[in-house]
Amino acid sequence: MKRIFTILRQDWTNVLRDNLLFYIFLAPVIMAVAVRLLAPSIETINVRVAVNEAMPQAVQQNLSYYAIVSTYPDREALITRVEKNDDVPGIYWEDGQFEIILQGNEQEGEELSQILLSAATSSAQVSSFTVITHPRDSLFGEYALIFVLMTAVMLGAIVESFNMVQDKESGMVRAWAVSPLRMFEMTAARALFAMLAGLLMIVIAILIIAGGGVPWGQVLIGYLASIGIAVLMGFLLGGLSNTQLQMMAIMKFVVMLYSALPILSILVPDKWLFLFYPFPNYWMFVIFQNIFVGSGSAPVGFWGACGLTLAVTLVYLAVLFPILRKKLRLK
Amino acid sequence: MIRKLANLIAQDLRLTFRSGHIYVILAIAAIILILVFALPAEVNTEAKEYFVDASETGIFEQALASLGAEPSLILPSETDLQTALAESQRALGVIFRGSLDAPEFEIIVQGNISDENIHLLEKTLDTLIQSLRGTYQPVEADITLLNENIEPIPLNKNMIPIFMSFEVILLGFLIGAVLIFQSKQEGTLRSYRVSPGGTLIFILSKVILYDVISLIYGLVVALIAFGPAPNYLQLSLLILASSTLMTLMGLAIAVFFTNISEWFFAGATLLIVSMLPVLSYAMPVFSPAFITWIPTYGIIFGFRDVLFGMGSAATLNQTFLTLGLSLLIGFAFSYLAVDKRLMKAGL
Repeated sequence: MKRIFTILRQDWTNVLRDNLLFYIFLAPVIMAVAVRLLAPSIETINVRVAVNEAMPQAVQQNLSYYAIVSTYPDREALITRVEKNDDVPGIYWEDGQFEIILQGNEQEGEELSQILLSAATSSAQVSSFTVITHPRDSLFGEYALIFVLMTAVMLGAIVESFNMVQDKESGMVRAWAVSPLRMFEMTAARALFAMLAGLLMIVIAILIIAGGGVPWGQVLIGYLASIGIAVLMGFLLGGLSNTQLQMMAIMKFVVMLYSALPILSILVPDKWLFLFYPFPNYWMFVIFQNIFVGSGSAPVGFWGACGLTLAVTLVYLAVLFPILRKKLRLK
Repeated sequence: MIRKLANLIAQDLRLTFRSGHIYVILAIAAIILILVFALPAEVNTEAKEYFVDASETGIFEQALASLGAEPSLILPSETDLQTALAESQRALGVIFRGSLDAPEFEIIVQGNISDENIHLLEKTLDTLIQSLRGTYQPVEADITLLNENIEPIPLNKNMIPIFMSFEVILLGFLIGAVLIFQSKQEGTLRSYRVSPGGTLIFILSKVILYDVISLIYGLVVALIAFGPAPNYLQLSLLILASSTLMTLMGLAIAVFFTNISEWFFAGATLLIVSMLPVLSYAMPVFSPAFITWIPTYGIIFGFRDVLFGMGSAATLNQTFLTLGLSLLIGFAFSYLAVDKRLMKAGL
């Protein structure tokens, strides 16, 4: 126990010396604020349309009932606007004639422009409508929160990996090799450190994005079930690399797998999801999907995802543990 | 000067090789290419709209079927609709009641949808009813397509511009910065400062090395994924210009940090911000002004335009012009930063 605290104290000193504490606080704040700012505008994306100034005011006003309208002085300026990278169709009016101008790659641009034009020129409506709204939190916000949380866990692991590489570069590892320090104690100390750093970051991120009304018990259990992934990443990054340059190389690969797999799992059809089953970060994503998006969106429930995250992580750790023990020459 | 430059490039190349970065590049390229060939060209991830025809005649259902609506989206009862909506939180529900003479729609909206979008949906449904009645008169309008050769981008290749913008051209940003910390730590930077090399050669060596690696990396992936279709001259220019910009940015930022762990958080934050244009790339309707100001916005769409033959010559020229100006500013900033903080200040 004493040896675990010694390593913890040493890592804490590194964190304070390198101003990392400041960044550990800052990183989730920046990410969470970005999510808070972006979520409302992404969830309520409006159709936009560009028109020329000569178009009758009544038509422009009708159009603004259905879309955000921007005006341009002439046809050339309108074409320049349509050619920009976003999907904005153009409607040009001259002497009572309309021309729909499209780049050609807009999603359903022709149909949409035609409906907009009909809507703007004829207000006659034959149907009656009742709109029932079930307000729900933004799905973008929920998925973004999951990714911020996963990033926080990753950053905790990276801080730990930097400490491990620093131990190697400073020769501290050689000193440990001749000390009574055991591999298990080193792992426990590193896991504890990554856990505390990650926990601090996820609490800040959740408070900013979702407020205090989340099921904190589930969040904590889910986080504890996932902490093995931080240890695994620490082993892969800090354990297998001897220099910071090597660590950056491995990190690029590991971070890509870590963050891209959950995103891909949202995009691919359900029948392909089995390809993700061997990856613990996928199951970690499923844990948070259960908590923040709902159990209907996930292939297994909360407890199943926690169990699978733990089990799959342990398999990888069981393979890596002896390799690392040999590499660090610990008992 | 050429010899000094070549020596420094060779030294940085050796360090890059030794660190395993080249193997990582090969592995990532392999994964991307596997995904390109393994993923389907199309996956429906759009928000769903479920329909129920609760009228006696079933005319709305018939109309939807004749328009080619997916049969799974036309549900037999309102109970099925409630179940479908509960399962898919992004879905919309539309119930048709009444008759063609007295049509009534109930629209069930989940989440935050703007009023304008609801009005548009109402108008679309009303247009359908008017068409069924035979009273709909579309407004006469000419349609001009600025680029008639554009085809929808297949899902599996849609990620290549993202890969180009956030992997291929970022090598110099990441590895260049790490090389600085490594050379500080090993003391080689101290030796370099008393050699006749100078700031310009120091910067150029990193820019040239990572430009060449990025160029080979990007061209090989593009060739395998797209074959001879893209304009490779434009693609090469875009890779070279954007890779140079990123390397210059990486160097200019790295010199303000004392060690790699401190730099990492700042660099990661900057990278996350630079990735925001991916949102606009995935949803071109979403392009708020602040996202369009991020340099990677122009770069990612530039790669899309070149690889898929989209965009006009004017748009591409604009991208190159913006990149050219950014390069001038980036070089001036990078030179000053490296010169003052790395070559002259205390290490």
